[in-house]
Amino acid sequence: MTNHLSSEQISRLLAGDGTSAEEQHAGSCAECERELSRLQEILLAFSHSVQHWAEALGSTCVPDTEFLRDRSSARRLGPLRWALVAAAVIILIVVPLYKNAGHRYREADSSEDAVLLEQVNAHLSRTVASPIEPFMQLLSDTSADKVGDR
Amino acid sequence: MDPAAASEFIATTMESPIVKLQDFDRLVQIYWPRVFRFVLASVRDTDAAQTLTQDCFWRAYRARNRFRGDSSVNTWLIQIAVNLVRDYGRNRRLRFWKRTVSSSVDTRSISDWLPDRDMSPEAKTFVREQVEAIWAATVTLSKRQRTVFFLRFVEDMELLEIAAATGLTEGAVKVHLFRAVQSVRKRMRSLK
Repeated sequence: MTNHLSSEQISRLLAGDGTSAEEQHAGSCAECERELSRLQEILLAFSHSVQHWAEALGSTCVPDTEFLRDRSSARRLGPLRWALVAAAVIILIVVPLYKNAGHRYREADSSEDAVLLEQVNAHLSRTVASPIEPFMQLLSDTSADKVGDR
Repeated sequence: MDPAAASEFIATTMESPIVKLQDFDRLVQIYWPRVFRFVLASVRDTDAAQTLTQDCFWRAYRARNRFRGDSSVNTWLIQIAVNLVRDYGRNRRLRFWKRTVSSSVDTRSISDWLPDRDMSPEAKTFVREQVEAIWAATVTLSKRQRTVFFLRFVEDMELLEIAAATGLTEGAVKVHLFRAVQSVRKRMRSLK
C-alpha cells in the first residue's frame, strides 16, 4: 500500500474492522499512525470526561442493597394485595346484586300473598258451594222472569 | 460469529461469574458505577439513570438463579441495562410531561470533566472542543450506534462482549461502530 489510509479506512481501524494490510500500513506509516493515535487520544479523553462526569453525578454513590429486599417483599405481597383488591371488587359488585335480588323476591312473594288472600276472601264470601253457584244463578234468573211476567 | 458463540468466548476468557453472584451485595458495589455510567450516558437524565440502574440490579437479582454463566457478570448486567435503556427510549414519548420535572443533565458541560493533564492551553482548548463535538455527535447517532459506541469507547468492552450484550453479531457490531465513528469524525472535522 503506497498511499495513506483513507478516512474510511481509519474509521474502520478504529471500529476494529480493519484488514491486516490496513493494520500493517498503520503500523509502518508515521503519518497514518499519528492520525490514528490522535483520534484514539481524543476518544480516550472523551471516555475520561464521561467517567468523571458520571462520578460527579453519583455513579460512585452506590445505594444500600436494601432496595432489593424491599422490592422482594413487595413482590411477595403483590399477589396477596391483588387478591384482596379482587375480593373487595367482588364484594362491591355482589352485595348490591344480592340485595336487589332479595328485594325482588320479597316483592314477588307479597304479590303472590295478595292473590291468595283475594282467593280466600272470595271463597269465604260465597253463600253456596262453588259447584252449586250456576244453579243458583239459573234460579235467580228464573225468578226474575216470573216477576217480570206478573 | 453469532451471539451464542460470542458468549461462549467471553465465558472462557472472563472470571467465573457464579462465585460473584453468591454475594449480590458485593456485586452491586462492584458493578453499580459502570452500569450507572452507561445508562446515564445513554439517557442523559440523572433521575432516570438512578431508576434504570436500580431496575437493572433488581432484574439481575430476580434472575440470579437462572444465570448460567454463559457470559461475564459485567456483560450480563450491561445486557439488562441495554434492554432497559431501549425500553425507556420507547416509553419516553408517552411520558413527555415528565420531562418538564426531570433533572435533565446539561450536556454541554461534558468537557468540564476533562482530566487535568500536562497540556498547553491551546491543546487543552482543542481537546475540549473535540470532546464536546463527540458528545454532541452521539445525540444524532441511531440508538444502536450510540449503544455500541458507548460500550466500545467509554466502557472499553471488546467487540465480542458488545455482541453478547446487545444480541447482535460481531459483524453487525463492527458495522454499527464504523458508522458511529464516521458520524463522530465528521462532526469533529466540522470544527477544524
